[in-house]
Amino acid sequence: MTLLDTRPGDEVTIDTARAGRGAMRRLWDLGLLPGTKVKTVAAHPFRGPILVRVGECTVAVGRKLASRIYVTK
Amino acid sequence: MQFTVALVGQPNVGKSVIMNLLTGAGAVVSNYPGTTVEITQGYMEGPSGRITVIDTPGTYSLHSDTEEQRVAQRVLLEAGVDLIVNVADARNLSRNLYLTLQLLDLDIPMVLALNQMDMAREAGMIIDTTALEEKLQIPVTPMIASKGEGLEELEKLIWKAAGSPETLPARATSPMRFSPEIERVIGMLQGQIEQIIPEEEGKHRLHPSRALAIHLMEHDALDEDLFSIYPELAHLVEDLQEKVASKRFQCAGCFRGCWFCPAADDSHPVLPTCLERTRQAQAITTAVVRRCRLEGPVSTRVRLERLLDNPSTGIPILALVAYLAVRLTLEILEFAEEFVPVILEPVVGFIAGLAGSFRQGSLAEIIITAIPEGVLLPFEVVMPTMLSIYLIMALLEDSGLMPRIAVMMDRIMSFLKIPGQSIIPFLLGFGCRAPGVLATRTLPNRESRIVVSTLLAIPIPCAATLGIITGVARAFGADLRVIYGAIAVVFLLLARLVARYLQADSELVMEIPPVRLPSARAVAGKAWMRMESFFKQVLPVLMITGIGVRVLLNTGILSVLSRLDPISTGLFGITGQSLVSVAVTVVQRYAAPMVLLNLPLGAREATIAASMISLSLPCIPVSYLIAREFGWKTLAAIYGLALGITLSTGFVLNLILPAM
Ligand SMILES: Nc1nc2c(ncn2[C@@H]2O[C@H](COP(=O)(O)OP(=O)(O)O)[C@@H](O)[C@H]2O)c(=O)[nH]1
Ligand SMILES: [Mg+2]
Repeated sequence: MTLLDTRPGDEVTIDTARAGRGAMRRLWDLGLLPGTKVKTVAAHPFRGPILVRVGECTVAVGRKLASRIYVTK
Repeated sequence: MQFTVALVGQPNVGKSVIMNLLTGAGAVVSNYPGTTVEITQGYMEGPSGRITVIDTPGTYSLHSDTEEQRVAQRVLLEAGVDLIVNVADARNLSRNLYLTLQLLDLDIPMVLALNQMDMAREAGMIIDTTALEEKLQIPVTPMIASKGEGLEELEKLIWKAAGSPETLPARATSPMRFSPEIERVIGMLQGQIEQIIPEEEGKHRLHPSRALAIHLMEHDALDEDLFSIYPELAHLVEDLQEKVASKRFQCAGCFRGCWFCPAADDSHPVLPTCLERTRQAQAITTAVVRRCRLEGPVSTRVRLERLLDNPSTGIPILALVAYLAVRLTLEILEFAEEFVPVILEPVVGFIAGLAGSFRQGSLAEIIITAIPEGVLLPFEVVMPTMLSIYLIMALLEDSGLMPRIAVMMDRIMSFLKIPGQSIIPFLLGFGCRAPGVLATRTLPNRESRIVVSTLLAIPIPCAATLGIITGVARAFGADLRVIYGAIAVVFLLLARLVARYLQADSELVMEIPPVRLPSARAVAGKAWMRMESFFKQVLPVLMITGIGVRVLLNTGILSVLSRLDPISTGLFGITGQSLVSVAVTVVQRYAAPMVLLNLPLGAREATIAASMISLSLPCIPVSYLIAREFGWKTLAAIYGLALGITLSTGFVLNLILPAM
C-alpha cells in the first residue's frame, strides 16, 4: 500500500519511495526515510496534501508523491 | 586575531533568535522553513576583542543539493570559522543529529546548543544532555532561546573557546564510524586524497581527508570542481563506481540518490553512508531521550494546532485569516491615502514655492515640480501597502500560519502546476513585485522559482499597477472588467505555458512548524529589515525615474512619438503617445498614469492602454532582481514574453472590443 491509502490516525512504516531526485532528497531531509514510522494526521479534501507526523514534527506531502511512498501497517 | 563563530543548524531551529541574543539587533527572525537564505553577521564582546558571529542559512544536511546548503558549507570551509555553534531542535533530535554528525567530520571545534527545550518538554521528551555530551564528545548546552534561557551558558562556552582556543582542540576522531566495508573504502580514498591533494594546515582543499573522502562517496556538487583540478580522483571514483555497478557493494535501500548508485536517477542508491549516519543519529537519540507520559490538560497551543491541522476546521479558519489579512492591508491603504497627503502637504507647498522662483519652462523648474509627484506617489500608494503587507506576512510566518495557508492552497495552485507555497510570493507581489521575487527563495526548486517570478514579473498587478488601473478607470471611464479579465486570462495561460515548458517539479514536501504566539519584537524587527531595503534600494530609483519621466513629458520630447500614430492606431486602436506610456512602465509603474492622464483618451482607448500597461515589462528593480537571481538569459526571455504579451493583448482587445 502507499501513503495515499492511509487514513487519519493510521500508523505505518515507510518501505521505499519512487520520485524525482529533488523530492527524494526533501523526503530524506525531513526524516521520511525507509524504516521510519509515520502517523497520518489529516488528508486535505479534493485530493489535497496529506499531513503526517514524523517524530515530533508535521510534514505535508502532496498526493502525487504520497501515492509513490510505499508503506506497511 | 579575529575569532569567528558560525551558527549552523536546520531551518527553523532558532538560529536567528540566538544570533539576536548574542549580538543584539540586526538578525531576522522567522518561522518559515528556509527563510534565512542570506547570511547575517554580527559582533559580540569577547575576552580579547570582538567576536564575529555568522548566522548561516538553515540546512538539513551538508550535501550541496540546494543553494542554502552550498552557502552554509562555503561559510564553514572558507570563512575561517573558529567555532561552530550547532543549533539543534530538541524536539526533532535525531533528524538534527544527522547534520551534527556531518559537522563533526569537519574537524572544527564545536558546541551543541540544544534549543526549544520547552517544546521538547511539552512533547514529553526528557533529554539527558550529559549523556549526549559523552556520545558526541562536545559540550552540549540546553536552551529556550525565545525566552533567553541558556544564553549565559552558551556565552560562557564561546568565551572559553575564544579565550583559549587550545582548550578546544580539533577533534581527532568523530563518533561516527561506518560499517567495516565502508570504512575500508573511506580509508582507501583518504589515502589517495592525502597523496594527490596537497596539505594545508592539516586539511586538503579545506577538508580533513576523511571528510573529503566521505563527500566523494556521497556525491556533491563540489566534486566537479575537484575533479577538474585532480583528474586522478575522478578516475578513482569512476573505478569505485564500476565495482558498485558489478554489485560488489550491497544496496542499503536508502533513497538519497548518491553518485555510486547505478540507478542514481531512479532514486535507488547504493552506498549506505547516509543511511548509516541516520541510524547512528537515531541510536544516539534513543540512548539519551526518555519519554514520559504527558500529564495535565492539553495546552491551548496544542489544541489550536490540532484545530488548524484538521482540514474541516482548519480550512475555514485559515481562509478567514487570509481574508482578514487582505482586508487589513486594504484598510491600511485607504487610511494612508487620506492621511499621508496631509502630512506631506507642507513639503509639497514648500517645493511649489521654490519652483515659482525659477523661470517657467526652465529645467530647474521642471525638475522641482516633478519632485512632489515622484515623492507622493511612492509614499501614498506603495509604502503603506508594503508596510502593512510586511507586518502581516511576518505575523503569519512567525505564528506558523503561513505554511498552513500554503498547504491549504496547494491543491488550487497545483492546477497551475506551481507549488502551494507560491501563494506567499504572489501575496507579496500584490504589494510590490520586488520582495515577491525575493520570496520565491522559499520554493523548492529553481524551475518553480522561475515560473513564479515570471508570473510576478508580467501579469500579477502590484500596488502601483492597481493604482494606475483605478486612476485611469476613474479618469476616462475605462472598463475595469475588461482590464482585470485580460490580466486573469494572461495569468492562467502564462502559468500553464511556463510550467509546462520548465517542467517544474511541484511535488510538495514541506515541514509544518508548530503554531506559536509570535513575539512582537521579532515581527517588528523582521518587517523593519524588509522596509529598510525598500528605503535604501527601491525608493531612490523610483524617485529619480519619476523625475526623469516628468522631465521627458514637460520638455515635449514625447510628442515626437505621435509619428507612430498610424501604426499604433491600426494595430492597437490607441495613439502613439499612449503607446509610450506602456513603454514608460518599464522604468517605473507610477510614471504611466502621469503620461496617460495627460493625454486626451476615450474610454476604449484607455481600457486598451491600461490593459497593455498592466501586462507589460517588469520595472527596473524587479528586472535587476530577476537577473541577479536567475541570470540575464532568464531576464531576456521574460522581456521577450512580456513584449509579446503586451502587444498581443493590445491587438486582441482592439479586435474584439466594441466601441465604447
Ligand atoms: N517555543 C520556542 N520557540 C522558539 C525557541 N527558539 C526559537 N523559537 C521560535 O522558533 C521560530 C524559528 O526561529 P528562528 O530563529 O527564525 O529559526 P532559524 O530558522 O533557525 O533562524 C521563531 O518563531 C522563534 O520565535 C525556543 O527555544 N522555544
Ligand atoms: Mg534564521
